[in-house]
Amino acid sequence: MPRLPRRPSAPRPRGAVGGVAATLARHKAAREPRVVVRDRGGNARVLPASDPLAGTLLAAAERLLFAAQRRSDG
Amino acid sequence: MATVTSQAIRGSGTGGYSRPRPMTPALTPALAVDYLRELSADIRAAAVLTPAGEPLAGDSGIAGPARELLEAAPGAAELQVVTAQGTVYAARSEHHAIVVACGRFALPALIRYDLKVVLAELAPAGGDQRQAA
Repeated sequence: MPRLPRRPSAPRPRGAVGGVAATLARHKAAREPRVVVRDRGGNARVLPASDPLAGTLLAAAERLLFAAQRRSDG
Repeated sequence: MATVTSQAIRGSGTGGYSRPRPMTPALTPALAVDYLRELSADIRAAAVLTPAGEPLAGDSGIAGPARELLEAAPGAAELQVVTAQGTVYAARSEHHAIVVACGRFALPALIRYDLKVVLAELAPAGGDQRQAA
């Protein structure tokens, strides 16, 4: 079966600019909300943002972090 | 007839020196919270709860949200929730649950390992010792 031509993608910055851009992208990704659930076997599952459980856990975590911050400030 | 002392001990029905001895848990919930905070400077607050979410020790301010977190995912052994303000980690065994609030730069693998170690130390003798291995 003949191979299909590779789909063109947007050009990526290279060199120092590309490195800085990649670092910023990684930092941005690290700050994005994420919920990981592990079962007793240690198997991890990243919940999609659309999952209602993810929303519940994120809301509880934000309240928890706020309470922890208030405690350390006070 | 026994020819050596160990055979005589076994024959008399007395347990040998290698017999497992009953041990009390090395850590109380309050000590576990202190220990966790000593282990990592990234942990801002910590609480030890029952698996159902009843607070046992730790920061009372986070006990409520920690319980909500545990109740929302009753089947999860571990949770990691990353937000813009920081990350919350939770781990649960058959006997206890621990919830910690960390800054954004905490290393997930280290925090998870610390939680497992403390959970194993908290567990009654013969309980979850294998989890920290």
